[in-house]
Amino acid sequence: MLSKRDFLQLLGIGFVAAGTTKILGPDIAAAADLPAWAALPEGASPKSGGKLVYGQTYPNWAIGTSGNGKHPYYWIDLLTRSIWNCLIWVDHDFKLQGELAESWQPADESLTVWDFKLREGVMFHNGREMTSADAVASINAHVAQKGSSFINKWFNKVEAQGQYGIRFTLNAPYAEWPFALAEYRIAIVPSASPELILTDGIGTGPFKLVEVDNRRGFRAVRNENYWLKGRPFLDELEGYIVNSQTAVNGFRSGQFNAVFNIDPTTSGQYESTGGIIHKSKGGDQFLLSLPKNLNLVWNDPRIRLAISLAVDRDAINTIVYKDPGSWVGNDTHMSGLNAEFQPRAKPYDPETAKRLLAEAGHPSGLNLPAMVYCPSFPEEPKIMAIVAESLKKAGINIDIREMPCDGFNDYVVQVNGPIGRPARSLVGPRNPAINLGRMVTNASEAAGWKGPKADEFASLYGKAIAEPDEAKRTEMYHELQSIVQSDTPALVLGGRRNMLAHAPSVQNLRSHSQNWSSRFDDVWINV
Amino acid sequence: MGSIMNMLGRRLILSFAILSLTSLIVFLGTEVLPGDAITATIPAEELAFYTPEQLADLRKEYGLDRPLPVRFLEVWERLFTFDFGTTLIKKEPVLDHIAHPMINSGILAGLAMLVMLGLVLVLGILASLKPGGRLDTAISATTLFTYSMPDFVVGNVFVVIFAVWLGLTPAVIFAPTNAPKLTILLASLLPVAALCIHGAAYQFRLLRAGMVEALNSDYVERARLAGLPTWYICIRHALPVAMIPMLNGTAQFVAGLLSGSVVVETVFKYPGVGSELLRALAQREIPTIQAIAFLAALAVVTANFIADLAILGLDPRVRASAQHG
Repeated sequence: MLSKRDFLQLLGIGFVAAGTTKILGPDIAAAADLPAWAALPEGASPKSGGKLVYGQTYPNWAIGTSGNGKHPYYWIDLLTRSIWNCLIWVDHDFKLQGELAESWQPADESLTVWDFKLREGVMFHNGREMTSADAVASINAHVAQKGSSFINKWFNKVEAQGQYGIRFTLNAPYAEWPFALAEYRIAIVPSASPELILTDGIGTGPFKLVEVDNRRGFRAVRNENYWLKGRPFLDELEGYIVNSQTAVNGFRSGQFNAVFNIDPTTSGQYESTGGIIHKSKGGDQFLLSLPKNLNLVWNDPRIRLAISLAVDRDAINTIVYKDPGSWVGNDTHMSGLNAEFQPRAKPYDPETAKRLLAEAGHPSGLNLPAMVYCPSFPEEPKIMAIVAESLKKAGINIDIREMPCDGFNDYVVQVNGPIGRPARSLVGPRNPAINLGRMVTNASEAAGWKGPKADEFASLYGKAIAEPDEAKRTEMYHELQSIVQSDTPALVLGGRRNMLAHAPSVQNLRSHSQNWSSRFDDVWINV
Repeated sequence: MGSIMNMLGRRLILSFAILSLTSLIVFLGTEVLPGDAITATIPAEELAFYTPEQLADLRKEYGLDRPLPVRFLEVWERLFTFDFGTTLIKKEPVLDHIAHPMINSGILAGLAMLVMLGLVLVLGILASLKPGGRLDTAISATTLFTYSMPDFVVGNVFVVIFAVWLGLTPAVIFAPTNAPKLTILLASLLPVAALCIHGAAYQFRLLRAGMVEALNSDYVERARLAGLPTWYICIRHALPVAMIPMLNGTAQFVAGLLSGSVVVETVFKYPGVGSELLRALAQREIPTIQAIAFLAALAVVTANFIADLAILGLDPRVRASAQHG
């Protein structure tokens, strides 16, 4: 008979093991003395050497704002995991894997205390071994520098437990705390004084930073002492932030042998020169917040549901991403990527939408307030055109306005602060605890959601993340999604599939649904 | 001589006024647009966690809450003393941020100017030797075609031909912003070609027209009758006169270099000030925008001033007009 404590310990181990055997044969992993998640595809024969030069078309918002390109916070554009590692990594199947953490578990059933065992023998680029002191200093620095609100909201303290152990104490029970530690900013770096820590470009990653130009890109070389033995395969890695057309030019001329985050409509240009396209399972979603604190027509939940049912999301998948049925959402931050995802019974139902409008007193259709967005991705205007067109078919007229990204947030909250105008938010794919929590904690995205359903949601959310039993928690997550769907506080208009293009010689390079979780230590080039 | 100095003095005062007006327009433009450095720098996902009061405190900390006239006078004084201040968020000297991009753009613009002038002089003289001939028709038709092509198209066509098909030059410039200037110089060949082709077409048309007119003038006819060789007549007698209308066009070319370089730098990823300006605009890095706009205006005003001096030197009619008030 398992005790509750035994179960909790198994739960922690389960986090580590979950999903890994599905991807990789355990024999392969064991033979290479690597974590199972790091094993290569069956039959792979990697070559050492070569240089991967990639273009990244994601806008240079982060590193461009930085005065110090060696700070990992600004590397979401350049892809952080080339130089740094975090405690946890979210793999391509959206499972948690131990990166610098070897294992983790809650210390007791309160789920407010979490113990992490660090990998031993991990060396920083400066030749020093990573210990618990570095992990503690890194986490404290992230909290002080507001590295992630998904951390700060729960964090109370972190302490070293011997040379390779750390203990987190949270201010509330949180069963999915490890997931938050995979956030792209939460890198582990050598301990240093508060003003110096995180500023020297030293990490534990597969490549050592040689040069970074905040405005343009970086150059790095193989870390011979990388903790994943025998990795990386590449000698050198370079990355450059470029616009979509320059990326195509660079790829076609052979300067880039990979381009991340390509515009789906340009995939043919890559393929015409032998490029291979890899699509992730998901990507960012386009969430439309509907301010409910004003006297607007969508204060009636039937209207909100009607709008949602009138959006032909599969037309977006088909026309824009050329991939029917690829993305599925349900008007929460969850998507088909999440195992806990609960789809709407019939996501596109214009007839029911019309009936709901009639029931709400708008039998001949209605006009909605204007919605604004700034196109962070090149395909967004096409998506918005499809949204407007499909709504129109159901008798719902909406003006979807494109605005410059410069000053966009200020424009949104220029009126009706802090909720602002009806606007599109971009939401990255994450686990249910973070995804669903954003409807509780994020006033902007929940957009003034209140009433019995909102109260019920908030209350159940608190219980769900405090529930140690994964099955029970999943049930609660389903129920939370049902509550949201029954009241439709926000709409998810569609979702991306991240795509990359690479030369045929580049092997095992894959686009990640969380673009920021892309890694390079298992990539090689067939010369 | 005194009259000439008076004229130059008037031009200097006018230049000063133009620069002051430019500073005011840029200042107002950067003030009235929605958004500021605070909201542009905080990631969208994080903004939801800041209250308006916190954002207001941040604005106060960065001096964004003071009256406009006070801030403008400060900006005006800084710009005219070449003290461009610090960036809003990181408090780093603006000059450190824009020095290398400005130099790189200077190299690009200077080289484009030299290549453009060389090209225009050769083509203009050749075409004017036999107006309406095959060579003139070919050159004129080609330049008319290139004149009608936007910089963006020219840049991409050059990339396809010289980088993708022929593999002679890189399509994307990887050199870092602070790379040795020889590296920048070598990397800038294709951008220079793309940048000057549009301007060269316009300049060519001006020079050709001037040359045709000059070569048909009485004084050139007298030189021919005196037995002077054609090349000497072209260079010594016709060219100085024909260059006068072109020099005004050259000053305009300098003004167009900034907008042209923004496009060309983007296509080739050239590490110049055009991309820096776009970045600063996107991030609402106001002191950087003001500094770049001011320096660009200064370059244009200086180019015009030099063009005026050159015209004064080349055209005795202008000198006479200045001397007689």
